[in-house]
Amino acid sequence: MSRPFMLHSTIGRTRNVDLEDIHRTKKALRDLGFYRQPRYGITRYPDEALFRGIEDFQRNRGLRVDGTMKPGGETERALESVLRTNGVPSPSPMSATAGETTKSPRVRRYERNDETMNGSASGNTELAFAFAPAIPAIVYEIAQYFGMAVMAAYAWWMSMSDNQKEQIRQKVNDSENDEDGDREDCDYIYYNVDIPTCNAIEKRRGKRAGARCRATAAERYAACLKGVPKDQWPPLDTWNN
Amino acid sequence: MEQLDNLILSWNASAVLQTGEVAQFSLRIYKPQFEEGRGYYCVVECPFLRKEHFKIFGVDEVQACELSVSFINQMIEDDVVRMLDEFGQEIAIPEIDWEAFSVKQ
Repeated sequence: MSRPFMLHSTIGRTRNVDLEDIHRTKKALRDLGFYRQPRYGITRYPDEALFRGIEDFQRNRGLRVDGTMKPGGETERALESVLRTNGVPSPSPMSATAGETTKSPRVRRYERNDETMNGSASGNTELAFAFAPAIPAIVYEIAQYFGMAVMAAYAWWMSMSDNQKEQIRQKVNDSENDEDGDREDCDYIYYNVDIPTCNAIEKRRGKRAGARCRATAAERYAACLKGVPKDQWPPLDTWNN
Repeated sequence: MEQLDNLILSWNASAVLQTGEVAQFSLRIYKPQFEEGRGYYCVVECPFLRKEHFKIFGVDEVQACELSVSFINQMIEDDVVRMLDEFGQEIAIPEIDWEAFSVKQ
């Protein structure tokens, strides 16, 4: 017997969302004809098609059309009701962490050993914003090319030797804008960009931060190999919060 | 090619695809190793996905094993509807308990 369709947190364009909620909602809307599955598959990350699908569903059911779904709200209840009525099983995540909260147990383990890092990490985060460095223009190009956050790209750029910087500069300048993520690029980005960045993050901010970073690196790697456009990859988690 | 005595997971199943076809699915995951500058990694072989192996990194041996399994699950989640054993029973890729495995050695 499938479990009821229930959200962990609100889904909305300006919300911090639960990735499993996004995944399940996309699948549910797809099964009901309100979300068209992209050729590269369904990701865990919110996109405009998802919010339009929610709005279409709301319109179809005579609900308030705002592209938002709240736990226990009318849209969630309506979706659950339609799924049940149509005999469509409520989508459940394939991972072993189904039903758990947003933070993966893979990462929660490290939080118990890293609690003393929290206070200093949040202080460091505030300092990082207060004293933002002058970032070279190439870093923004790197961030866009490799699908990284600007600060992660900057940390990686600063860790490189002059030779490495020149190679990266050449690669970014010479390559075409391959939004689909060529497989060789996927291996390159994972092994030579994201994982070394996570290594540097771990040295600076501790094991928990390194664990979070590597978890997102693996997700990005899979997204790339599946042909997901770079702008839809999950961000590399480089913060200890 | 990794040595077989470094194997920590060898798993086979029949994969039922979204198209209705059934494909053979095999997965091999090898004992975590350490690479300077990158961390601990597991070599993952999954011919269903590609001929070349993957190297999946974690902050330690435990995470390398965990991420290896979750990576494969993420790769197949949209194409594979279910996995079946030789008796037609639905199964899933098992998690690797590295801590238990390393104690035995």
